[in-house]
Amino acid sequence: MLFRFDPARSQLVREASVRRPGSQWADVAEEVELDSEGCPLAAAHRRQQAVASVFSSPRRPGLAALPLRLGPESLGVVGLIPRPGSASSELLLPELEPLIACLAATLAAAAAEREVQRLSERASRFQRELAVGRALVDSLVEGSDDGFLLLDLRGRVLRTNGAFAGFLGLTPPDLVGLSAARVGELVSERSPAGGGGDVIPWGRPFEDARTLGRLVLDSPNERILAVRATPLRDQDHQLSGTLFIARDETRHESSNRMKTEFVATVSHELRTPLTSLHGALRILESLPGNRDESRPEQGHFLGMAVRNTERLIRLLDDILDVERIEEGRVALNPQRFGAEEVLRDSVEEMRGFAAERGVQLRWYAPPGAELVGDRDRIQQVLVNLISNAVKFSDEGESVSARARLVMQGLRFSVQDQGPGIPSDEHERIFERFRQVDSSTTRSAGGTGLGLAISKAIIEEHGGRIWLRSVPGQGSTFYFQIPLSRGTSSPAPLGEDMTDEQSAGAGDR
Amino acid sequence: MSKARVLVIDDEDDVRMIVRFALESDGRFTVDEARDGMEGLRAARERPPDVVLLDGMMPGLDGYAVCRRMRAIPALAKLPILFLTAKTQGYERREGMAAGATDYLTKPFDPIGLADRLIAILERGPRLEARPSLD
Repeated sequence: MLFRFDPARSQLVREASVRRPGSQWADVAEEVELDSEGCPLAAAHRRQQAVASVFSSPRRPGLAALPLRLGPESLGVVGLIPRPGSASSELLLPELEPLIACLAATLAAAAAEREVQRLSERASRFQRELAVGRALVDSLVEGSDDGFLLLDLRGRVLRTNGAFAGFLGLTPPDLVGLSAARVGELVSERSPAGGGGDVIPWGRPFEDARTLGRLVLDSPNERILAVRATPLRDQDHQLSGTLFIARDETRHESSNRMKTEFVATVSHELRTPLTSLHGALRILESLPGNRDESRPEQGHFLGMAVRNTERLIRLLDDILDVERIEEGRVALNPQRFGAEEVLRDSVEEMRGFAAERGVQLRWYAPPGAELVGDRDRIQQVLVNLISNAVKFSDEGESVSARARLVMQGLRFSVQDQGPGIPSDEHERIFERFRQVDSSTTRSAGGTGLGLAISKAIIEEHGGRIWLRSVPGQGSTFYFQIPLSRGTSSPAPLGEDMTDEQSAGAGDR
Repeated sequence: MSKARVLVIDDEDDVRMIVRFALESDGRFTVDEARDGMEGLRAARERPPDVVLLDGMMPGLDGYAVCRRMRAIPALAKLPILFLTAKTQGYERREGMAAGATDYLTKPFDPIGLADRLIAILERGPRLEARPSLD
């Protein structure tokens, strides 16, 4: 009988047995615990040597147990029960041992072959998977609209793709093997002055992924590329190269430019008829005939036409405003100013409007509190918030505007006693044309853009704007401007915003 | 006191009509009109007005070019020139001021306040150098 050692269970498990007819051993165990005391099979395995047991009973002639050794290990044990009446098992051992050793060697060879087979299957499976992976990477890299350029640490081009080479009017083989310096030359030759062609450090290794900025090419085709660098690491996480990714943003840029031009054109095209309409209505309104007491509806309807024309003009201005702020084409004009003065001026600006509606205005600012920001823009936000608060207040209610120093900066608040705003609207209310009840907007004469503009302005200042409100208990709008921002606001990228409707002599 | 002479240069008939009505009915102005930049330049050269209202976008010579050319003519160098234009963007305003404008008004404008605005500018005098900053 043959027992295999099962390391997982720490047992000898019977694999095979041949029983001669008439054998006395009817009860050969299926499994033998390794620590079984007095069992020759377990002992032979433990000691790695042949063990023979002799039983006194004539019906049980004894057992010869021989380990199947392979090097230092035992694969299992072979147990032999001699034929009754033959030599005792002890005497058999010397003859059996070479045979068993031979058996062990054969088994080991078979096991080794199986292992080789298994490993080679695994290897070829890996190879297939690797091939599939490589094909996938190849088709991704080659098929990508993004340009790839992979350089090793010595600054040699290891790999590139059709998109990248195509940006330069070349093919990938033209680039592979070139030095970073040569790549820089090829790019600069194709980039106009100021296009960023000489700025990208192709030879430099990067520890972290980084956006490098825009690269403009003017030959062979006009292109605007956004270039990023990503470090490439080997399996030990050691830096092994840099992957530059150039994304073609030409179309995106040109559609942005078209949108801006479209907005400017529409604005001008709308302004021309609005100018005639508004001018004509204002003159009609000023004519003495309209104060005819017997025809009050005449003045009434004329007033309606004027008001709505003015609302259209405001809407047009607001659309342009939000467009420009969100496009980032507005440079703030930062200066240091007092919270008191901006609050006072904002409240004064809204004083008449509030009085018309019978709403009381109150304000408070801590004396001496200052902030750095675009004063006109901050006032625009405050006026907008106060105007909203007044619009949603009933006669006899009050609106208070406050400034307060907090840890993170200067916090302004505008509080009303109006109907309040349900909490699910608190985020969306800052979106364009979003109002809790758009009919209120119309009756209140707003454009639905004030809060979107305010949010854009505050965020441009590095601050944030939010509100607290419980329906039925009024609303408080807050915005906060960080104190530390100082004068280090971003450099002007486009035009700045001046007060479009007022005359700005001395503008520079 | 004699009336101030205003030259309105604008290719839009409506605008010229509104400006003429608003200023003439105010009583302190007389109004001349020009329908494009060249005509306006000629009219100003022949008979320098007290103040010019100038459109920005016109076929042919645009307002910015008209403004620059007027400033190059000694007789018109200190003439108050006010843009009245639908070009409302910040850079357009700066371009207008850089071309030598005295002030920059945008369309749509309120014709009712126009007369007082012009009087204020005229009273400020034509001394460009001493122009106070409104900003």
